[in-house]
Amino acid sequence: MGALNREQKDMEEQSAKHKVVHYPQKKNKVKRNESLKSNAIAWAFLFPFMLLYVWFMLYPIIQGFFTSLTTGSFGMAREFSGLDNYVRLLSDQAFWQSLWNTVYFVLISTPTIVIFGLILALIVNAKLKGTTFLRSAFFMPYMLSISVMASIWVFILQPYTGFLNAILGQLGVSEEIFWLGNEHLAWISILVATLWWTLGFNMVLFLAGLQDISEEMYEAADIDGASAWAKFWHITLPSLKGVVTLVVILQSVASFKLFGQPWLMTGGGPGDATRPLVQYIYELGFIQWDPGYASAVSYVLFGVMAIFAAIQYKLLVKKEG
Amino acid sequence: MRKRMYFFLTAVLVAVTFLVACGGSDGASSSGDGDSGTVELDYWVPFSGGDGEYMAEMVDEFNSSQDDIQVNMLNVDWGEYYTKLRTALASNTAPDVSIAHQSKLSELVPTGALTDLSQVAEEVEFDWSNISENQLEATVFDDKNYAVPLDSHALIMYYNKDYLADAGLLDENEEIKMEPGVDGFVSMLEELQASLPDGVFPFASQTDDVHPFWIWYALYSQMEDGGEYITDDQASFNNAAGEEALQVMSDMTEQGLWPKNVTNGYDLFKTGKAAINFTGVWATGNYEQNEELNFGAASLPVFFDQSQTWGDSHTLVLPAQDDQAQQQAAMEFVKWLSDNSVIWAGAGHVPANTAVVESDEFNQLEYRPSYADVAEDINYMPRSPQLWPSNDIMQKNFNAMMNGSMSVTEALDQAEQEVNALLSK
Repeated sequence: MGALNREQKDMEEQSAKHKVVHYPQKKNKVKRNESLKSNAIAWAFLFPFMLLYVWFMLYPIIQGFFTSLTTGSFGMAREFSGLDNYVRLLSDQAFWQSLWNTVYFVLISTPTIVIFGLILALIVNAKLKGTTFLRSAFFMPYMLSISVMASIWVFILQPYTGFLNAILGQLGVSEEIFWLGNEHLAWISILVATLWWTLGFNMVLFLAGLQDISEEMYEAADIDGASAWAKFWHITLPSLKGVVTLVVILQSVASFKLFGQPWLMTGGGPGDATRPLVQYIYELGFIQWDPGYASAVSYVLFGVMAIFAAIQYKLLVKKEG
Repeated sequence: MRKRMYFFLTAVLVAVTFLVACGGSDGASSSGDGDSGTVELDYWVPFSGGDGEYMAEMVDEFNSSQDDIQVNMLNVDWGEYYTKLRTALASNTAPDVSIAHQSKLSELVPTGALTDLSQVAEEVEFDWSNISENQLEATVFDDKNYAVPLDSHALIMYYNKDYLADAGLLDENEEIKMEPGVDGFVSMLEELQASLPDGVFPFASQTDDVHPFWIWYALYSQMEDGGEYITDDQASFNNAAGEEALQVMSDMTEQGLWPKNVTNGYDLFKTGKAAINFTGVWATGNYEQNEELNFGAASLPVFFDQSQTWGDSHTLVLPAQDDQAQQQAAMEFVKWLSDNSVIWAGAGHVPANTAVVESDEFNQLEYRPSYADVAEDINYMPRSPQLWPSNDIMQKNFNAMMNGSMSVTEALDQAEQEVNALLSK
């Protein structure tokens, strides 16, 4: 879609230019024909993607909405039930609990990822020895699949035989700490694992932003005798506003989709303490086999994410302007 | 000229897209008559580890035992198995034969996607009377046989003979010496604890998965006024018996006999870090891999009034299809699996075919015969299409109880409330 829009925009820009330069009418027509042709080529190349996109993305999204208005076990007759599923979730405690869990994770993960991502980027951007090594070391975890990442952390955090508790034991901590068995520690564990896993990517985004900042500004600041802190606060940070906006939006959307980390590390436990909304949707859809209700909850998550992203965009982009 | 080129290019792209899109479904429906007159069967199983190897061995042996039927086994990851099976049943892409747990039948039968086996069993002269009664009864719905039980796998007790002998707790048959009842078991554990080396737990079963629920269900079933879990679409376990059973487990953790937050119960026992362990019979195949481990396997001790335990069965089901020849071949295969399930016993399971259990071949196996009669003690789970989600709720709350974040009554109240909410949907 984006490519097509750009095509049209190019056309407009071209014709806008033409108005100023006053090209003869004939030539313009030829140009337009050529544009149409390239448009057709673009469509031809886009067609395979569009077909799959419509088939596997748009159609299920629309179908999901209609499913959310029905009731019935999976694979059996479906009955139209209007907004019943949406009414039901208003009084569904498990829904509210998992919605809160998801929002809670967004609230704790987004700021930490922005801050630590920036710190890592500043470290590798500093002209020190070994930054190339550090850069790849920081980025490496991002290349792991989520199951590998989770297995590593379960191995580290598990009680009695876990790596972390073994080290703590050597240091004289005699009490067995249940990193994944206690509500608060479980969230911290999930957060730390997520940070370790995704920081590399955010670091790269910040790094790109940092390298875009013109050296001259720092030189000017040096001449004025600005401290390192003042340079950071008045040059680096304001220049990174665009990247920060991007990271915040990307990260909060990703955090809303939280599923794999708790599913593989805690199973949503202890109790329901770390069960995010996506896991609840999965359980409704594929364990309780209630696709109607699962779709309704999915649409609510979609709505919450859309509103959240819109608010963020408004706030952050306005500030920038 | 150019226009034609564009048209041609577009056409090629469209064609390629469709070919790619259709190619996938082409491969999936490969069952059917092969070229040489042999019938090909698709067979889905959810077996990881040792189970998978024994089943693969059986399939190989079946394939080489005759020329008419070729079985292609697909071993699906346990976590995805029922998602895949249920969606396949709904979209008519199911295999010819597949494994289903007995506890899953009350969810699968109402979908109408499983074949009533009565007729096809007759065609291949399948003898239902060979199947043990408790197992067979559990698979009959509305007087119809929807499944052939292959085995039963129950919760049993594993014990480390070396540790128990050191504590003087083994009798001449190498069985544990203890008084009956909860007190007998607990005082045996206490005695054992006193003589165990540092870092070895007297009792360790996993506490962060389904084990606490299974153990509770077994203890609860051992009481004369217990054993009811879901009755008439209502939770029916939050009563004095249910509480007493859960209290036993809570007390064991409080007294330090059973550590909290056990996440690798199998490994603890297998590596000699636990003296006693309750788990399913499938652990036999796992534990005997450690040749240094000198262990015994027995039915659960009787904690209360009667000998009962939690258990389930792997059963064989035939998803509905129109091709009669295909179904008949599938039933031939099922019959063969049942008759030859002594191979399957290698994985630790107790075959549901009584002729096999009585055979010399089975009785010469190590460990398995010592708990074979556990099959009669299984209190099969109640029939509800929401049984598995309900079990998940039980598991979650009992795990919270086991790690100390909920009391016994809180866990039962919370579980009852959630199960009722689930069942009322």
